[in-house]
Amino acid sequence: MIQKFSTKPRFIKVKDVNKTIIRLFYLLPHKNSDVVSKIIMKRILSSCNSIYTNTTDFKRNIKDLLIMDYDVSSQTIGNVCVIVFRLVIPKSSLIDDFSLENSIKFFYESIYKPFTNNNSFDEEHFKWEKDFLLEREKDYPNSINQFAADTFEDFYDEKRNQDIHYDEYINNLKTITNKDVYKFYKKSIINNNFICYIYGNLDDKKNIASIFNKYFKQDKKLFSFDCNFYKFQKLIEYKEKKIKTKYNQSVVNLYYQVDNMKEDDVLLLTTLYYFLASRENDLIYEVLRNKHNLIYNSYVTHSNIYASLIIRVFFSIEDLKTIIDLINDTFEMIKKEDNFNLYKNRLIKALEYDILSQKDDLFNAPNDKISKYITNYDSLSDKLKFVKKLSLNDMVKFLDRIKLTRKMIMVAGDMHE
Amino acid sequence: MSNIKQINLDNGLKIVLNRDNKKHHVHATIIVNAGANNNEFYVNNKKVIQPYGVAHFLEHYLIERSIYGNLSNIFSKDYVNSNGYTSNDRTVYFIDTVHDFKENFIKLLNLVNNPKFDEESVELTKKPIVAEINRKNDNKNIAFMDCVFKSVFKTKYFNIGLGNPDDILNMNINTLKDFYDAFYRPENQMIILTGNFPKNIVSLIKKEYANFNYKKIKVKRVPIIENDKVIKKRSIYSGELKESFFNITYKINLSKLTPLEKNKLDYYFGYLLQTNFGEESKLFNYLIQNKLSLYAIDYNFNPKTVGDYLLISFVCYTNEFDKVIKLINDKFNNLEIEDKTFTTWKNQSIIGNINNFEKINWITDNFINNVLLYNLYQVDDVNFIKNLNIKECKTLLNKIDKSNYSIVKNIYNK
Repeated sequence: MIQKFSTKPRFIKVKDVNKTIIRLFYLLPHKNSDVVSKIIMKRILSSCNSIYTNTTDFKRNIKDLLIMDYDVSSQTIGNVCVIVFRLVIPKSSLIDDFSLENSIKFFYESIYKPFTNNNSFDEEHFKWEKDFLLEREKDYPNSINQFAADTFEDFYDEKRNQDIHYDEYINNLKTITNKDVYKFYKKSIINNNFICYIYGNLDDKKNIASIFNKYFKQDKKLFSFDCNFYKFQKLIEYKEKKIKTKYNQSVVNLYYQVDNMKEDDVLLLTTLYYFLASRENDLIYEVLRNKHNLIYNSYVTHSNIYASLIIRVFFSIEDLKTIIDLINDTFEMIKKEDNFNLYKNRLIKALEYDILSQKDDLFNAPNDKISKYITNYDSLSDKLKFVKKLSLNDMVKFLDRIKLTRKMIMVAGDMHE
Repeated sequence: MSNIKQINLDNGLKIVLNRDNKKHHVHATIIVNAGANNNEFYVNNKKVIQPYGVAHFLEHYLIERSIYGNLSNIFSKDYVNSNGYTSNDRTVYFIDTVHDFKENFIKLLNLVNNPKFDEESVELTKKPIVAEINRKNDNKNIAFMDCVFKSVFKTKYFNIGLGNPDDILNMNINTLKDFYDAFYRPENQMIILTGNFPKNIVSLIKKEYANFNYKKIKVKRVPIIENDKVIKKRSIYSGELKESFFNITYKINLSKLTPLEKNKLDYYFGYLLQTNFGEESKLFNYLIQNKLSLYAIDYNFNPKTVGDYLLISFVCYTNEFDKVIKLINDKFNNLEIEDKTFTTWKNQSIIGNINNFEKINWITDNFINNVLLYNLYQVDDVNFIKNLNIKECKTLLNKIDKSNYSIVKNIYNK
């Protein structure tokens, strides 16, 4: 879906706060082959610029300027990658030594005046970041969670349609060049537009706006972007696998897909996930732990982007059959009218309380508004409206389209069980 | 700037209140002043020795087998956030809710003060605890940190909270009851309330506690006697960690400092560690420029460990062990203090403090930390920060001995 965005800074005033946040959002189509460039670029742009050429001077300058926070992050939503630069500063009158102009200038220089030589980032800095990232992977996998998640992902996403896989990430990291990263920087930042939000304390709004506009200029007033947030995957053929591990606990991983997922199904999948895993119903945990005392913990996640649901439980191998049967029964339980109404009403109440609860954090409302504008993210109120209208019939039809397509059992080393 | 009230009831219970009727939330915490360390104690002059893990087992038991049933489950179903955790010196239970606070708070009070014990329930509670222990043991760093703390303390300190699976399986109803009767008493408890709770909350607490029964026994704690020196100056760890790094931990006796001095030292070390070892330090720059490490130095300040010992530790990933250890040790014993960096740090702390005061939970947490860590009944407001100064920082540094340290190396050969 092609969407138009304004390049003018948008201001949101938050009462009774002493800080101001500036966030710049750069949108670009997501490609797995860009992942390593993006990671290295983020590290370089958050640790040096053309004036402060090493991490020490750069970080010291952030402190000297009394900047509360500066960071570069990114988020991938289906086919869209969002790179976000964030500056958090105190309100101008809070402390004498604070300079609004110098802080915004530093923010600008860190994004648009990086430390470069001959159309590349500084070679030494690039190499250091690359070596650091490679070194960090030496201890992989560092937990049973990481091992289970990555090993299972290799099994359900053999064709690498979803996230970049570990081996591919390492290979790309080893072979990437400074020129590749700089090229990505030019494409994603220099030759790209951004959406800007300035929010929090706006006592000095005029001044903030004028300084911001002095440094950050965009030629176009509007730009378009194909906001293709979904990468629904086609059903794969059912397979199962059993492996032995060196860990103390056994793990069962189940991958479910939604057959023929459409955008209209997104909130249905979210609701099903809430039934299974959010605290008011938490059906998987409720059945396996509270009712049958079979597990210590369970992990349920869903992806609206890939139209999938993953259930992972840590358990003792002798309980395997019981656990699988109970998980299957849980899906059937939802189809019964009394149960469905009970779960639905609990969820409605939970969402109402969550909305109330969010009001205590003054930055929640602007953050929600920003997410809605950029990523069309469903707020709690959107979800509440949807759940209130949801019928049993809709849910039953949807559940019939949920298919288990991968099962992987990881059997613990026999010393502890 | 803060609205904190502290009330001590006749039964010994301490209550801390921080009310704000503009909020929707109420956060209620009960701290029981006993944890994994209290595995030995006297009851009516008779010594009781228990295995490690009883405090944590009891926490699970009280939550999962309360007079209402599994309260974790009940709270969740009623849209109330709740949890419990056990550390070496305390066991903590809390709820956080935007509705029907009074009713849920009474449940929390009963969870802690009005248990029902039966053999079958004790047996049923064991399985998830054993699973939790197995899960924790799958973390490879645990064994390394165990080696670090064994080199520093004579007293068992690290990784004792959950106990071991065999001990858990051998525990019975009396093990739990003995610990409960000894420590779950009003004089051993503190209740902390933050947010929009009813004005008459103290009378409600008094009324509830009047209905609870406690066993009439004399309880004495076994004092912990710790060596002033570290146990082992140098050790080599041989586990399955695939990186070369070391941990250097300084064990610093703070017993001669006043509570206020200890709290101030916490702030001064915040400054000293950041400017001497952080990413903006000369030392970090030197390590990077000379390719001695690819990572920032990981530094840690741990003020409440065993007795009055402060631990300051540094972890650095390097193959040049001796060179980097010398650099860190030299720097730690000759910490740089400059007007410019100190002023910048203080200004940043003032900004941070003013922003923290927007969060009601921060104010309460700061107060409670000061009470529990330093026996200091205050909130660190902006005036407290403004009064920090270089002269005082140097005076306090002169009062502590920084020569007592232990090094553990993990040498990884590709």
